[in-house]
Amino acid sequence: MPGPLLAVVFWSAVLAVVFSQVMILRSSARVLKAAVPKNSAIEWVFAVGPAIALVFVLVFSWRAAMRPPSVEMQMMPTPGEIRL
Amino acid sequence: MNPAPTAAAAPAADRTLLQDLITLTKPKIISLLLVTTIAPMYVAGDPSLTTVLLVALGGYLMAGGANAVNMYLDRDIDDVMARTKLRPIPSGRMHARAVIAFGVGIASAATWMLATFVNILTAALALGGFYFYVFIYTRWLKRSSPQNIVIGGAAGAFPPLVGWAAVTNGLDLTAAFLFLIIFYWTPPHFWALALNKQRDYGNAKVPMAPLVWGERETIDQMWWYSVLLVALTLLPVAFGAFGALYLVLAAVLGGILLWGVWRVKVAAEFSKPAWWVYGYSLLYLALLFVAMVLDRHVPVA
Repeated sequence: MPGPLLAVVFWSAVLAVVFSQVMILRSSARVLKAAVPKNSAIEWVFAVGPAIALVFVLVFSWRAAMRPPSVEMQMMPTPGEIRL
Repeated sequence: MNPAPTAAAAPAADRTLLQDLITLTKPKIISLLLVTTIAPMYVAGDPSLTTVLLVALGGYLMAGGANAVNMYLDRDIDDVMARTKLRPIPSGRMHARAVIAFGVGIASAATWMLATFVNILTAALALGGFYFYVFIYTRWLKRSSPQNIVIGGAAGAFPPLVGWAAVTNGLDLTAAFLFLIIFYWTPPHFWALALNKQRDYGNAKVPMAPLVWGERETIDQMWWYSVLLVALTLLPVAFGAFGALYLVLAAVLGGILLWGVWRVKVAAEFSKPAWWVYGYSLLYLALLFVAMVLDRHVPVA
């Protein structure tokens, strides 16, 4: 697939992922304020933990998407590596 | 002592022991787990039929063992929920100790089989999924947090890692995405069920999101989890894990899922569209993983 199309897919997907995660965190904050659970610290960890993991995955994805393809990769693409 | 068989259990009283043992493993649920285990094997490489059969059998036994232990731990609440009161323990057809022995036994057999005939990493990941489901989800989160399904979703996300590790003896970024796809698929799928089974969960005192947060807030989160999920399914294309065929199929399948969840969001009466989302989300996940395999193995002009 052409590079510009891949860039559009990447950045539009990243935008949607980040915006959705922010909306999930906002909703979690609303429900945690409305009805304070027995252990609110744990509930906050449950809400924020996946978001932090997602940030790491997005950073690794960006690095993988920006990595220039090697000769071997162009001949034999493997999972998780560039086929630009 | 086992509870006495209830009147509702009477039609199931003539079931054989073999049928009950199969019921303990929750075969309908495992069929989807096997799709998400085996499809990644064909994405990761070209596994031999023997390896695929070994992983399928090991995966079935491990997940079946986890499900049987889950039925042992949940035997008190299964009796008060309409959809679970016919299970072997609450209906009095099997003794609770026999159920946990069966569950631990087949999970142990799976661990040995995967470690001996596939590789140690595959066995460790499958066992990790077992422990996560039994101890983190069933024992801890299910009855204590409305985010039980969110964090507990990680248990169902282990199968693609198992399949991937069976072929590559390692994990990489694509495998992490397969994990995340199932992790973020779980909340909208199970909340669609929970919206329609609130009375059951309420009777069993299981703090599902619709009961604790309210229906509107749960549906709102279902929508944002679905948007995040669909976007997440497209990202692997950007770093070359999948190609154009997968991009098109994932976009179409995801678009249908978003349309379904949007109908739940805007409906005055959400019951029917929520049931639709529950059913379609199962098909969605299976077809998404099939799309990954097709992308890898069907040449596109």
